[in-house]
Amino acid sequence: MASINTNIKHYPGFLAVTVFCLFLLYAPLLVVMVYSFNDSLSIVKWEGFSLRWYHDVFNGKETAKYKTAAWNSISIAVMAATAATIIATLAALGMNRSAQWRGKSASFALINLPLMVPEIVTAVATLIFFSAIGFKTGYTSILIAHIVFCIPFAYLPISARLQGIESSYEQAAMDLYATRTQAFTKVLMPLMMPGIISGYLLAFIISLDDFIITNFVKGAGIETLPTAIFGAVKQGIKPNIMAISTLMLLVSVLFVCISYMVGRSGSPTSQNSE
Amino acid sequence: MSIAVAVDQLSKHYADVIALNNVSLSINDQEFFTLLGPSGCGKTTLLRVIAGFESVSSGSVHLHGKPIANLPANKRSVNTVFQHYSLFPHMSVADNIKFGMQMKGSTASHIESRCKQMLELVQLGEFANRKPAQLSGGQQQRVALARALAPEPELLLLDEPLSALDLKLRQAMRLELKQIQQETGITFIFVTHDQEEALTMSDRIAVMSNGEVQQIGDAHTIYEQPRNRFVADFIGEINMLDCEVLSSSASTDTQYTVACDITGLAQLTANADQSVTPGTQGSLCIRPERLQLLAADHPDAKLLGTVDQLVYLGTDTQTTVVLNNGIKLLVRSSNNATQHIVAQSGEKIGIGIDTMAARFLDN
Ligand SMILES: Nc1ncnc2c1ncn2[C@@H]1O[C@H](COP(=O)(O)OP(=O)(O)O)[C@@H](O)[C@H]1O
Ligand SMILES: [Mg+2]
Repeated sequence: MASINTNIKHYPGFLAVTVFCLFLLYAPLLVVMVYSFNDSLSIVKWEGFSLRWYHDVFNGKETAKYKTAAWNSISIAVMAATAATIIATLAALGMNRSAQWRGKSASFALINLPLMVPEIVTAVATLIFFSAIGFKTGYTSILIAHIVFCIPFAYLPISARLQGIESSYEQAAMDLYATRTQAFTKVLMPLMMPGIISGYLLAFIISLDDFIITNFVKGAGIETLPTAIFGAVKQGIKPNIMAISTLMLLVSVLFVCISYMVGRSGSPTSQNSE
Repeated sequence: MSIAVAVDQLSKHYADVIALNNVSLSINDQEFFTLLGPSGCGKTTLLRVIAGFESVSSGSVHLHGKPIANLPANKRSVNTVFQHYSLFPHMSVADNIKFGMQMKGSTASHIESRCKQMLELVQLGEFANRKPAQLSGGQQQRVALARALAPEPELLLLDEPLSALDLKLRQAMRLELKQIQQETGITFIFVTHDQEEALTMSDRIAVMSNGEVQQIGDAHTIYEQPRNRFVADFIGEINMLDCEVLSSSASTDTQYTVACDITGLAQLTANADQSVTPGTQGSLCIRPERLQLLAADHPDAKLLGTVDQLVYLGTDTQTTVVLNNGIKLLVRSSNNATQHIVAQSGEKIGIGIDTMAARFLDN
């Protein structure tokens, strides 16, 4: 049938291109992960397996520096993701559960614009904004910037989920004497939860590994993990960087997996098998 | 008999669509009342107005004498069985059933015993802890019914609740629904586009089209005495013969006998709800089962024609007869009738008419 001809597997060289792309994507990560276990100061010569660089990360000369940076990264990511998720949830409700209001489509564009604007532009603009209003750069300025750019990432899964929930569930709740608030807390919110959790985790990851914007708005004297790693790499790559990178990768992969699994669980419409 | 629901001169407009136009009806306490009409005629809109999901453009709705048109849905003692059930997917069957009573603030002990009672009523006792997604369509339908009945509403609204079920289940559920309605004594407003469903279940039926009520009556009246051509055509099958009125006279206080001239064929009498001025153009309407196949030379044969097609339907045989002016008539004869004629296609045949069952409807 037609599908035989259009099946992409039958294009010559398809397999080779696929393997090449996968190699390009994952080989560097693989190298970093493998060499984080290298028992050597060298970053290119393999001299046997060891955990010395992981030990170095937690008990070495630079432990204090990385500990502070990690704490900054995680605390900012938690707060930014929380704030962004709350704002994104409210925005999604406003966009999906209200009659047409003036500026609705403009607002939709506005919410998603940060996804399209080059990050460097946002970074410069945010810095200019902070200095224009005389806001002192530091922990708070990083936090505010992170909240703002995390909103669209949290918004996407939450809004997608909400769109899949028919409004008849809330109507059924109100029909059964629930107030508007009860209909939200007892019916709509539990149904939205997978989307909210996905949005939160996505925002968390985006905040955790942001470099460009953070680097612009952080000011002197404060580092997050990405800026600390960048600073260290400028003075030459030491294998402990690879150990830190591997740990960060692990956290990211974990979060993405959770997000994926939560997103797949129980679609609200699955009960109405027609 | 007290009146449960009174809808008075109700209209509902959406931008440029008139979904309901000046609808008035009153529904008795403990009645099984059906809204019947083709898709898009405004049945759901009327139900949503009564439930409180839509505001009215004009008119009023009273529930047991209290005006409710401006009350929010959660303040009306009215519950709905939604078309796609809308069971809360994150709650168990029991929690779904308890929801309304919890929101109303019933006592915990009452909620427990009522929930048990409802589960028994719909025969789902052993499924109390399942999630809706783990139930079949028919079971979900029963949970939706139990959930809506549990808070003991003054009125239950059902929007095509059986339309998602397959035929066998649908037929079984008809009887079950009717039985539950009689047991609980709650007034039901049932919406359907399926005339068979309406005829078998309802105490009374309102036939709707284009946002207007065409006729209200019990199944017998709607079927035997349709008030206009829409109702006659929508419910069951009917033959319509163009005719001109020759004269009309009162036969009882409310019925008139009309003599009609079926142009160029015959003169026949029919019933009408009001007196009709001679010369009026209209239709003589008669159900296929009220016609009788006779030998062409039979003295009772009022019309003559040629047999065109025979369809065997098990209990009945449906014969299409082409009259001498080219009009086709459907005749339905019971297959156990003692004197039924086995006609042959192409054969000349006579048709007898039960004139008591013929109705004159103007255009
Ligand atoms: N929210 C709405 N906005 C605009 N038109 C609507 C809306 N809801 C229903 N209608 C229109 O009102 C008419 C009646 O619809 P409905 O009550 O759903 O019919 P039914 O249930 O009998 O099939 C239809 O023409 C439909 O298109
Ligand atoms: Mg409908």
